[in-house]
Amino acid sequence: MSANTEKPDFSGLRASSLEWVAHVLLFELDQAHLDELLSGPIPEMLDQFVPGTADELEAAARSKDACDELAAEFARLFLIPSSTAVVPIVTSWVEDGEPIRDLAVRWSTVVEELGVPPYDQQIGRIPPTHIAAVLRAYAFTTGDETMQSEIEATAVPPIRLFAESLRDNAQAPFYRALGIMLGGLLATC
Amino acid sequence: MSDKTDNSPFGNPSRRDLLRFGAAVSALSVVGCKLTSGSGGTLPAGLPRPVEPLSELTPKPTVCFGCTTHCGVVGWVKDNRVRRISGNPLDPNTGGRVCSKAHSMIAYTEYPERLLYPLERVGKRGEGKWRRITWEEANRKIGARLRAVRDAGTPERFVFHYGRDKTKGFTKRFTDAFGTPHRLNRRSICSSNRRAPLMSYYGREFEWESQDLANTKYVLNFGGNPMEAYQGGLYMAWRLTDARVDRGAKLVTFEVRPSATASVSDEYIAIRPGTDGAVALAMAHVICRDELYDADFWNRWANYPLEDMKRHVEQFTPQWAENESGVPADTIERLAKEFAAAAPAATTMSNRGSAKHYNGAQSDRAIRMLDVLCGTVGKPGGFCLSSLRGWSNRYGQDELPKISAPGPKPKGPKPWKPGTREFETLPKDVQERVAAFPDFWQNKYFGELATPSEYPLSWHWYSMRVGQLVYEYVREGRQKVDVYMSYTLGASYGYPEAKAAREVLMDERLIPFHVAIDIGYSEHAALADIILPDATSLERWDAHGTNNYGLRPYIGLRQPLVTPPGQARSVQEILRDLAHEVGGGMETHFDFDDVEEFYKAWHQNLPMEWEEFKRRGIWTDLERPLDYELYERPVAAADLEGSEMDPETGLIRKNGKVVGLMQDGKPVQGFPTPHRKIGVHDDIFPLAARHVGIPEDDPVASPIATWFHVPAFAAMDRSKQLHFTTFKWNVHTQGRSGHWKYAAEIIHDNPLFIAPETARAHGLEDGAMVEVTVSRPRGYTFRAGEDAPVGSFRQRLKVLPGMSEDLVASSHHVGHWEHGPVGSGKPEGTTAAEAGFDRQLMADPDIARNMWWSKSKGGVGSGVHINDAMPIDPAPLIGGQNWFDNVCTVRQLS
Repeated sequence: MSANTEKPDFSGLRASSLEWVAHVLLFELDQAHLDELLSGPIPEMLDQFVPGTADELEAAARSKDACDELAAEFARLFLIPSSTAVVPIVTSWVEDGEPIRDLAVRWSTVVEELGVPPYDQQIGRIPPTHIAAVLRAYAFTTGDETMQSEIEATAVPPIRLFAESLRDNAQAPFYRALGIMLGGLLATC
Repeated sequence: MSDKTDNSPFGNPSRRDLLRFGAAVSALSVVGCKLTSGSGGTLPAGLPRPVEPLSELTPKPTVCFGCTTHCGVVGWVKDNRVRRISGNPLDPNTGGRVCSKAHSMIAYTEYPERLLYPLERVGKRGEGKWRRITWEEANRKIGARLRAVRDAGTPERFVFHYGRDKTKGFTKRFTDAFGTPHRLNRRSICSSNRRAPLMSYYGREFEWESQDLANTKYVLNFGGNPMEAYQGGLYMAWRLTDARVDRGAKLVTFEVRPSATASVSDEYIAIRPGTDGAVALAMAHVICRDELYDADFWNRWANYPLEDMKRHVEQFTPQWAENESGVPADTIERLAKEFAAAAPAATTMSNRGSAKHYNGAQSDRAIRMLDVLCGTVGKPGGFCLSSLRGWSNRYGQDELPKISAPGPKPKGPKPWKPGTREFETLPKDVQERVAAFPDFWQNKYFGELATPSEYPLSWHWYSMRVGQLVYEYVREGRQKVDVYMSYTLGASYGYPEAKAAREVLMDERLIPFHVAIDIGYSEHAALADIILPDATSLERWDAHGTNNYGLRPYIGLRQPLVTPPGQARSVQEILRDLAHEVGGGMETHFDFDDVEEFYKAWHQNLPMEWEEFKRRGIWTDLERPLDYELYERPVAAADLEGSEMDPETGLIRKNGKVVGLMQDGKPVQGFPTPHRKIGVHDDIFPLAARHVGIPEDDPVASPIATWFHVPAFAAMDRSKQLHFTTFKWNVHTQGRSGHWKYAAEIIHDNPLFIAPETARAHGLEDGAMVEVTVSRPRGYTFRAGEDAPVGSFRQRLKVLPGMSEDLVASSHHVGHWEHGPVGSGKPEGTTAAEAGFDRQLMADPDIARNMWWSKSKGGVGSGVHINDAMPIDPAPLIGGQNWFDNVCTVRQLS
């Protein structure tokens, strides 16, 4: 059996991956999402990053307590302030006029113009520098080199740090794997 | 077998491609991380902040809620973000000024770690494990609990406990509609010891004064700190400054430490703690002895003969006061004469410094007496009173439009009189005490949490309650609780013996269900079962009305400038939706979809279009005369019609209600007291004492102002023990601001201040680490005289000239363990040095860059929590917390 030397085109996958990461930074894994995940290869893929992820997801799908544990990990990491939280916002308190804030507003506008459904109905107002919003903007502007390069220059470096932090601070394999996955996705930026 | 993946969120790539992609991502991840930690991650930083032209921003007035002063402000908004805060020049109280706390509201609102969603605990209570739930789920669960309480016929088992509630009764609407009297507050923690004497003197309507500082010539300040921390501080500070600088007014301050107000005073006199009343009485002695009083005013308006008062104060000589207070007798003589000479354009001022003591109520009564003696009450430049509550044609609010919340309003629960079901739930000893109360008190009694029977003056004028006893009373079983709802309450951090609150909240037998409504993740919210995220003052509606130091009633509007983040909601929306969830008629009192419509209806009688009111944020009638000498205003013709006058007392009654007083043949309004005069003699004190077992000859029961030692101080061993007091800084607001990053940058620590002489006398060195151990209080108070200390804490000593002798003092704002990295002072894990960003605090690089005071950066940290060591110490009869009566030992550790 010969090795497959064909270089795959991952651009589409990369964009959809970023959007999926954005989604799981905003939403806990509920039963429907878990069922969807478990019927596909994602658990196996994430298991490559952090062994035990697939088992964790299986358990969460079977048991409410295990599902609650994942939800609690989501809240601990992203919703409750503490020194081990990993706040999923690129930046909130930069000075007025720093480029990232204006760009964030611009990303929001671009995403809106692209017709991407807003999250507002489901989770209320999130700041334009929420990492999920940035990842979405990045995913949906694939092909727009100007926009992509602006995001890469301003937002990607801190999101890389976020990914590292998520990898290091998450206790649940799934979120550690998510950090690793996000770091890898951004490495090509 | 197909390897297509139909259920992938990534679309439909082949299974093989996806796994290969995963492998590639895995490899890149390692590379990426290396790259990042080596070089990446720096945002454009250090750019000068451009000044955004105001023309690009939209101004919108609202009312600040940075502290309890509530200043009219203008928020400058762009892109759903408040960019700047400035003062509202139409606000007659501030004249357009703001303080640092108003500016902090922006950071507070944008605080990246605010509570954004309803949360439900999934671990043990207090374990810190939560899951996000929807509002519908939260409402359903809370609603079911509340319905069960109500359906069981025990609505009183729902306890609502707030920290700050400026909704002008909206939360009361909720508890009244539910049928529980348990809308508990923190008034006793703050100010009931100083409100009670005021109401005793001037009536229920005047629980706060409005000195005419703009026109005063002389201010005698006993422990007030308006330049720094005072309800109304900003209103007072600029008037006081103008009066001193522009018109040469004199400010004399008695304080135990060199506060900001003391530092700008013409004279600062370091006084021994708890002796303000002694000095005031000695001044009264001088004024009476030398006949410097305004006999006409006293005889016309005081309810006690001047000659009797003169005899009463004979005992309080300046030399006696010097021995007690440390203030030289000749200074007392001089200041008394200066005050009397400046009258009527002279006024006293007092606040926690004088009042938060075991003898504080009597001390404040003594201080207030100086104004009555010298006839400064209601006079230009004097001790004035301006109506302060909402406008519902209350005393002093004649001919003002009626402003009140729209109906239908719930009636609320009935008193727990003997024979009622609720009365039967009380412990037997409480039943006996309450049964012995006269009718007028029984008619105000609503159980031990709302109206603690051992502190009848905490609910005589209105229900101020004794908040610091709530948790102990629940622990004792005085009240069963099924649902406990806290609203922006910091009791688990900020109450005296805060550990008691934490212990009770952790006991699910005592508190089976705790819902916390809060803006941030506080120590109290951390002990909840469900947390509901609240909006900040920049995101919500409120009616605003307070007393005006400019002496003309006005009304303000708090309105949302931006929408809350996440799914945070205003408390009005939260309670409205819960009322609808509970149902059973409760929802009829919350029949509105749009909160703005509710507040529009509230202000429908205002002689100004709603949109104009929103545009201006303030309404006042500039033609209306100032509130000088309200008591001399004639009784309204409508009240006179059909009224009767009591020939003995001169009281004018209509339908049994006193509406005025005949003075020299003229029907005038007088004061809103039972006798329409100033209550310098008030039998309510001995009456209250009698009903709680305090001998009537005990000085706390005196109907006339007197002074006596704080029992704990009298028993001090001054060779080993010191006074321990707390204080506030100008940038902070109790324990609510320790996590405001700009405020924390200015004040983040609470060293223990001590006078150099005291330090020397006790062998303590500047900068040394010491251990402070606080004793139990003495006298008629909670757990008085117990041998075991309340608690200890360790902090560094800071020698400060100007402190009173035998005293240590520490502020109480800091030392949080929740409220995120700034509050807890733990931005650990930062890698800012290598990347310019905090790895764990991506949301605020400013913390990583600039939180120089954190211990991880070699700083002093974010202070020490001292409130566990502060005893629960309610003042007799009134229940106000005696924050400044602590006695401690200080042991040097290093």
